This record gives sequence, C-alpha cells and structure tokens, in this order.
Amino acid sequence: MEHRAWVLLAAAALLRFLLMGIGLYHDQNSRLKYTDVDYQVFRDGARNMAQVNPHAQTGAFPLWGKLLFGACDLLCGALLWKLLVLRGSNGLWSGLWLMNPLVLAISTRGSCDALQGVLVLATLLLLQNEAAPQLHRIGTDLMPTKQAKTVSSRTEIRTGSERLRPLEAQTGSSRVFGASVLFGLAVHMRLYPITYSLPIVLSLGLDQNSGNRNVNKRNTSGKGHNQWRSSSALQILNRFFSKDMLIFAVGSASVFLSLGLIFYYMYGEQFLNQWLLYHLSRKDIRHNFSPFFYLLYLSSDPGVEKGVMSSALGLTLLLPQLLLLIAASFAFRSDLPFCCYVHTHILVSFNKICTSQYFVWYVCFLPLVCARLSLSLTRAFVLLFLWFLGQALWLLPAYLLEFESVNSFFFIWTASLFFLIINCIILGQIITHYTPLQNTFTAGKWLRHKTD
Amino acid sequence: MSASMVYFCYLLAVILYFLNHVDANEGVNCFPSEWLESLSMSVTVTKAGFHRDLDYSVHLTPVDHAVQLLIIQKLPSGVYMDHYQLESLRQDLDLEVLLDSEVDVEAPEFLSSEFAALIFLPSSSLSVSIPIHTRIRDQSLCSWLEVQQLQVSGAVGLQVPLGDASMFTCVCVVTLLTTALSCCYLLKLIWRHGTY
Repeated sequence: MEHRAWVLLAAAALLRFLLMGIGLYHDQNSRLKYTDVDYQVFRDGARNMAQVNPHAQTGAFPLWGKLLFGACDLLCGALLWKLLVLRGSNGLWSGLWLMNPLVLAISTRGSCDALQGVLVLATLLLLQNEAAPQLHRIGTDLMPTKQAKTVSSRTEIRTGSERLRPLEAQTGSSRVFGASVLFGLAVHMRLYPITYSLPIVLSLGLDQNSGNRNVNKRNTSGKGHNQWRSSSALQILNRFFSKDMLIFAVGSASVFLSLGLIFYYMYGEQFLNQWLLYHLSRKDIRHNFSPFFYLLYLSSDPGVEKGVMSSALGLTLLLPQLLLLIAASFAFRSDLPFCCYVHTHILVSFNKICTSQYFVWYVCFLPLVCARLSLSLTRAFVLLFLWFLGQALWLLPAYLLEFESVNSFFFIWTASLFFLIINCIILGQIITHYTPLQNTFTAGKWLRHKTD
Repeated sequence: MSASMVYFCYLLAVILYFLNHVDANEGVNCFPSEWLESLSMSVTVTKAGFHRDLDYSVHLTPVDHAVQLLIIQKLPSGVYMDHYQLESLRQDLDLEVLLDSEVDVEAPEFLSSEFAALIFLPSSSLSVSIPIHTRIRDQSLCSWLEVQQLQVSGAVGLQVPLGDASMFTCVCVVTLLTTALSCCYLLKLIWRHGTY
C-alpha cells in the first residue's frame, strides 16, 4: 500500500489510542461511564465462555478487547483503501471512515461492529474485480480521471464485438470460496448481512449469463433450433447457475451451519435462543427510531383481538423491506459495495427496531459510495444536516419521555415518521447521483446502456 | 381503565454483622431489644421518567461496635434493576446488590415477575441510593397512571406516562400510508437508475 495510506492509518490509530486512554481514565474516575454497556455484556459473555472453555483467557479483556476492536476498525480502513483503489477511486476516501467522529466514538466505547465491518468488506474485496480504465470515462465531478496504475493485464476490455474470457479467469473460484467463508462468518456474527446473499449470488451469475447468452448465439447461428431441442436439463440449469454461485452458496451455508452447530453443542439451548430465535420472537417495544415503534407499541396489548392483528401487522411491515431489498438486489447487482449500502440503509430505515448502533452498519460503505457520487458539496451538507436534524427531532421528545416523565409519545411518533422520510430522501439522492461501477467484463453491452 | 400502580411493599429486615472479633454465638446478645425498636428507615423515590432512584435512609442510635446493614427489598414486575449498572456500583461505591432471580431487562411488564433485591450497604453506611427502571407497560385509555392514596405505612408510588390507545387507528393509517409512499418513491428511483 502506498505511504499515504500508512500516514492516514497512523493518524487514525493515534486518535483511537488517545480516545481509549481518555475513556479508561474517565471510567476509573467518574460514575458516568464512557465505555458502552454493550461492552460489559461482551466481557461477561467472554467470561462465561471461559468457564466452559478454560483455555480462553479473559483476564485482561477490558483493555485487550478494546484494542482488538480498535485494530478491527483500522483494518476496516485498510480494506476500504484497497477496495477504493481496486475500483479506480482515490484511497483517501477511506478517511470518511477512519476519521469519522461517529465511528471513533463507537469503536473506542467498545462496540464490536468494526469486526463485522472487516468481515463484510473482506468479502467484497475478494469479489471485486479490478476496474479497467475505460469504465472511468463516464466523468463525474468527484471522480479522478487518471487510473493508469490500476490497469493490469488481466482485465483487458475490448469494446465493440467482445471476445469473451473464460469465467474462471475472471472471478477466481478460490477467491469466491474465500469470500463465502468470510461471508458465512459475518452472517454468523450478526444476521443482517444475509440480505447481501441475493445480490452476491446474482452478480456471480451475471458473468455466466451474459457469457452463455453470447456463446449460445454464436453456436446456434448455424444450427438453428436443433441446439435447443438437444439441450438437456443440465445445460438449461447451467444457463442460470454458475459454478461460482454454487461455491458461494455452499461455502457460506456450511460455514454458517457448522459454526452454529459447534456453538449449540458447546452452549446448548440458550445459545440457539439468543443467537437466532431471538430475532423472530423479539418483544422489545421500547421507544426507538423505527417508524413502526408507536404502531407496534399500541398494538402490543396482550388482549386477544389485537394480539392476532399484531402478528398480521408484523408480517405486513416486513413487506416494504422485502420489496425494496429484492428490487435493489436486481438493480444494483453489478456493483456490490453500492448494492450492500442500499440494502443496509433500506434495512435499517424500514426495520421494526432501529437504534443508532445500526447506523454504523451502512457508514462503513460510505467511502466507497461517496467516491463515485456526483453530488455538489452544498447538497451533500444539506443531506447530512437533515440526517442529524431527523435524529435530533426524535431525541428531544425521547429524552423528555425517558427522563422527565413527559408524555411525548405523539412527538416521538411524528419524529420517527419524519426520520423515515429523510432517510428516503437521502437514499433517493444517492441513488440518483451515483455512477455504478460495472463489475463484469462485457463492457460493451452494459456501458452503452448506462453512460449518460 | 387500568389502574396500574407501582407501589412497594417492603419488608424491612435488618441483619446485623459484627466486624470486630465477636464470636458468632454472642451475636444474639449484641443488640439490646430497645435499641432495635428505635431503628427506623425511610425510603423515597427520586428523579423522574423511566429511571428512578430509591433513596434509603436508616436512623439508628449509635452503638459501640460497627454495624453493617442489609436491606431486602421486594419489587413488583413493573420495575427492574440493571445488573450491569449494579456491577459498576459494586466497583465504584463498594455497594453490593444481589438479585434473587434472573431479570430480563428487555421484557415488558406482563412477561415479568416480581423479584427481591438484597442490598448490602458498605460498612457503617446509613444511607444508599439504588437505581431502578420501569418496564414497558401496555397502554390504557388514560395517558397517565392513577396514583393510589398514599398510606401512612409508607406505600411508595410513581407515575409513568403510557401510550394513547385511542389513537391506534390514526397511528396505523398514517404510519402505513407514509411507509407505502416512501416505499413507492424508492422503488421508482431504483427502477429508473438500476442496471438490468
């Protein structure tokens, strides 16, 4: 990695050490703790695990754990740099993560979301092919134009009539397998990345589809429809499922299941409940950013009639998320990091429960998205301001409710709806002004469709 | 109208520890009965909102050996204590609070049960403040809880705001409408700007 990257990483590391030091001092000398309560939960979990497995060392966990999360944080930054360069963007955009005050606060308080970010970004890195120079001549305000360094002999692109390269050389199957293992780990840690599986699988099938389509055209031109009659079911299957899709699906599923089985064997029923079933039967209806909070709270009466309605309601509320996620998967499957960002933003905004911890899940994709965004600086700041405003408008009545016994439920509800609208506006603006990077090698077809 | 009221029936059990070289057999004679009768305790609920403090204050006439106090407080299902918070109290103030059962901090009131907290005050300390939190309750037609008549025997209560159930239809319609419109807006944009 170039030395600018090391300088940025060093500065980020220094900042984190500083904040951790201040946090430690503060924890020892003040009743109001800097360290997040979730970190104590983590530490307790580690202690419990140590009782079952005596080889696990948890003595120095308080500092050791925070250092681990801080290191993961920096690793995220490094992965972002590599991904940015691979996609032909300027690596300095990773500063949006490394120097982000929100990220700094959350990681030095002891949150494990950085580890999650590492796994997801590493998966994306393995699945990302190098961007070729032609793909940059779309020309946006914020995009660099000189990318000579990223050209490698592997990604020659010819416009016009394409000579297609065999699939194996493009997305190495070993890389796909590596990505599937990391992905399985990521989903095991937190369930939400499972939504990325659809666009990933679609993108792995992308190359094969276009490849096969063209190959079939060439082959059938002389033979007419005899070709179709003689295709067996296997060949038809081959049109829609590529080897890489299978590797990815099987790889990630086996990692996920085997980890689940191992932990179930070690810790039993309790593990299953808290890891998986918890998401299905969650009855937490305390106030949160979700637009559905008040609706679910009012419908949570243990009385019978409403009880039935609340489970129907619960299913109805899943519909917007589902529709949007499926649409986004198909629409943006050729640009995985962007697709993952859209997925996560949708998931968090339309979820039944939304806390500020969830925002970090999509902030880790921000550098990758911003590098190809053609928003003016003013507009970007307006959107950022709106995002903070939406939270502030919610936080005020929530504070009054929780700490001053003011009945501000109505204001919390309206603020949460307003926040949903703001999130949709922001997402809409980003989708409108983003230039997708096509991760396929059939540049001719896709570029002609997309260039504007 | 659910007149849900949080009031505490507290059982005052003061167990006396001897810290200075006294035999266990002699424990029973350490405190004369008239001294025990002069003991009194007051408890108040302070702060506002979902997070309150229980302030205990014990009054006893001075005695020549050290006295350590244990307060056993029974609490109803509408409140809970956070064991992570209690852990930090243990570290900072040397205050030991033990709970007699597992407390699920996220469960709503109708899924929880009452429990007892054993509060060991630090040596020679006569007052303590314990943080408690109220659980989510189902809403009623009234947006405020009714407070029962406070009795001289010292039932303590607190008020907690609840959601307004009469607004359910309005909330349902407006929320679903807003969600549907936002969803359509995004779907339109995704369709327009996606690559297929």
